Amino acid sequence: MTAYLVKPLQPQQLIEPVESLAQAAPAAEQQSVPNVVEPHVEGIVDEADALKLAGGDHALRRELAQLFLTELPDKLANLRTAAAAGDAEQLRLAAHALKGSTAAVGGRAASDASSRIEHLGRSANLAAARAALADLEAALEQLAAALQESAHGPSSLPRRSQSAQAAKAGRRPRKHP
Amino acid sequence: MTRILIVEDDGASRRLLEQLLASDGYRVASARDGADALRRLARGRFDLILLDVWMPRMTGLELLEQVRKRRPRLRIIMVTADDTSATLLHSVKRHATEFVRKPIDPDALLDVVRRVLEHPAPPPIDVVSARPEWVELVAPCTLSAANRVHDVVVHLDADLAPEVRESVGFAFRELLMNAVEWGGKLNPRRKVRISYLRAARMVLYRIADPGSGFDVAKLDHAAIAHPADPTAHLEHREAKNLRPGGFGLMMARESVDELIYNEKHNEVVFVKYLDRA
Repeated sequence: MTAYLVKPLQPQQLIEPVESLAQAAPAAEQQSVPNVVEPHVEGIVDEADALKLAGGDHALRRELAQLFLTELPDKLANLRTAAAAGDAEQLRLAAHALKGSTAAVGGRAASDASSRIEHLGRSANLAAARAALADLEAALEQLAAALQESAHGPSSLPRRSQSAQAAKAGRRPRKHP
Repeated sequence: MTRILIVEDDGASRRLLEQLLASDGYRVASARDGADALRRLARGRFDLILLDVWMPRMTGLELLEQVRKRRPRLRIIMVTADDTSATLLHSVKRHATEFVRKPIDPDALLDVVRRVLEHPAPPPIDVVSARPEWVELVAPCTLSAANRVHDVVVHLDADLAPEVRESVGFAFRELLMNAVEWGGKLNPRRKVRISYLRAARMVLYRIADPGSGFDVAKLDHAAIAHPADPTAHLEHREAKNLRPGGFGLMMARESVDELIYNEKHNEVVFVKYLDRA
């Protein structure tokens, strides 16, 4: 572990289950949520893109990854707070911030998932945005693990989110069987 | 040495920009929010600011407005992943010099930075109306302003079908270039007025130039003056020592559903019906 990880990632913070958020939505809202968001599990990190962004500098590439990992818990907390509060504008802003930071480290799937929530937040479609959170959290977990692994060897992050595990396995989490 | 201030709240994006610009020989300073940026601007001289839009506490657009009050001619490039029409129009309204989209393409960003620094700050484009359904701009008659207006207007059409976007984009560019080149004589003190109206079933553009208009019958160097023989104008162009071409106006007319000039021919309106696409 290098000195950059001044705030070791807390799995509790990183992989908070989204089921509680989904449950917080009114029942009528849950039923009306169209199953429109497909999970993106391919291309967790676009290494070529990330290295190109860093000008081919591997040390800078690792530094960017560390910066991303350091700031991720706060960004994720903002996202969850906005979702729990039903604040569409804050949700849009939090998702927008994640879209930019994940793109800076080549996290294409997470950036795409953030972008979807940003759009849903803009249209104040909170029910669909909450549903899409599962995919984003799964993508972020995978991205964080991949970045840590490439920098420090295999990640010790436990896989505790059902939705994240499902997405990892390449299938959509079934919250409403 | 050229000094650039980066204002960006995301650590990785900020570091990326710092390294990219430093490697190209610029002296770089960074601020992580608007208050930090204003402090740095008060203390030091900068030639250019790279400014993120969505930052906590003070947005990039709010900061842009504050900086413009203090430094109206400072070059400012907005760098953002928010490519909505509203953000683009508000950036233009507050006289941002350029607009670069994230994710950053390092080579493209450096090209924009070099281009912006090489030229004096361009005369601003005034935004008369920034409603998405009614956008109205007043721009100086220069090619660079026309290019910036074109970028903005093309972006307003981002949700249209590609073939519609292409045809109206072509017509708009052709007519706008005619307006600034022939109507405005490429004089930055003269202004061209551009309106863009968006309705459910149509998109309408109006371009009013400051010239005295023209007579189509006397445009013998343009294909549109020879409807029976679209190549007859070419010998007139050769005689006038004009470059080959002259098809623009005719092709613009073919690209849209309505194209109407006023009596003097210094204002043109064109329409594309969306339900026919």
